[in-house]
Amino acid sequence: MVEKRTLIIIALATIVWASTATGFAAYYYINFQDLLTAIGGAPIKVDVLIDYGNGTREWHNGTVLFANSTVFDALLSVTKNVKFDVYPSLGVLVTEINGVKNVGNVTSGMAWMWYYWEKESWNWGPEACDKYILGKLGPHSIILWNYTSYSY
Amino acid sequence: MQQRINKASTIAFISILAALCLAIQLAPRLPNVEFTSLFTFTVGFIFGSIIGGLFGGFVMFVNGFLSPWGFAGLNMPFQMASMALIGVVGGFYRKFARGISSANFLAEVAVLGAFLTTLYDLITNFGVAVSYAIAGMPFNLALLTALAYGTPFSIIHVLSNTAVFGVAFFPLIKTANIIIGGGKNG
Repeated sequence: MVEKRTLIIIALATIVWASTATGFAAYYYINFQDLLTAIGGAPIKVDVLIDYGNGTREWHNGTVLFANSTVFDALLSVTKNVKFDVYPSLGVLVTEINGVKNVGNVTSGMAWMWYYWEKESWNWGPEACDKYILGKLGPHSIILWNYTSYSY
Repeated sequence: MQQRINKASTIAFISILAALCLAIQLAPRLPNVEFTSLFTFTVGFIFGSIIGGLFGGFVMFVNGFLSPWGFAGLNMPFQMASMALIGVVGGFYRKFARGISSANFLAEVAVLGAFLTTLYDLITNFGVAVSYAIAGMPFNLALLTALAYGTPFSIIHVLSNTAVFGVAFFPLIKTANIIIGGGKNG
C-alpha cells in the first residue's frame, strides 16, 4: 500500500510536469504560428509542366514550397536555366527557359506564357509570374509554362 | 541573557540571508537560477509562516527595484506575493516534515521546490499577462503569450530549484541550527 504522503509528492511532481508540458506546448504553438506567418502558411505542393511547343513536355511533380511562393519561384525550383527581364511596374517577364528563347516582336512571335490548372482547365496567368502567389490555388497547384505563339 | 543572544543571532541570520538573497539576485548569473526561493522557504521552515512570508515579500520588493533585469513594475506585487507564498509554505511544511536527514526527505523537498517554483512562475507569468492586457492585448492571448514565452525560463528555474532544494536545504537547516543555537529547529 502506497503511503498517502508519497502519493501527495507524486501528485505535486505530476502537476509540475503537466504545467511545464502545457507551457512548452503553448511555446511551441506560438512559435509555429510565427513560422507559418513568416512563410505565408503551411507548405504547399506544386506540379510544374514545361511545354516547349514542339511536342516535348516536362513534368516536375511534387515540389514543396512555402505558401507565399510565386509561380516564378516554382519555375526556378525546377530549373535554374531561366532568363528574364524585370519591368518595375509589371514584374518579371520570362524570356528563356532551358535554352528556348522568346522570339518575335511586339505584335507577334513565340514566347513563354504561364497558366494554372483550375476547374478542369488551364487558365491564363492573370499577372506577372513573380506576383502570383501559389497559395491562392490551395495546398496543391499545377502550373504550365507554355512556349506558344502570340499575335496582337 | 541566553534568550537575548538567540534573538540577536536570529535577526543576524535572517539579515544575512536577506543580504545574500539580494547579492545573488543582483550578481551576474544565468536567468532564473536563484537561491531566494530556497532561503525564503528555509526562513519559513525555521521561523514560521509569518516570518517566511514577510521575508519573501521583502526580498522581492527590494529586488524589484534593483534587479539587473530592470524595474519589476507591475509584476512586483505578483513576485512579492508568490515569494511570500513560498515562505508561508515553508512554515507549514515544518509541521509535516519528518526524518529530516533521510533520502526520502531530500527527494520530498526537491519535489516541493519544483512545485513551488512552478507556482511562482505561473503567478508571475500571470502578472506579465496582466501588464500585456493593460497594454491592450486581449487577455486570453496575453495569458497564452506570457505563459508560452515564460516556459523556457520556467524550465531552467524548475530544474535548478529542484537541484538547489534537494541539495542545499538540509545543509542550510543544519548550519542555521548551529548559528542560532539549536533552539529553533526541531
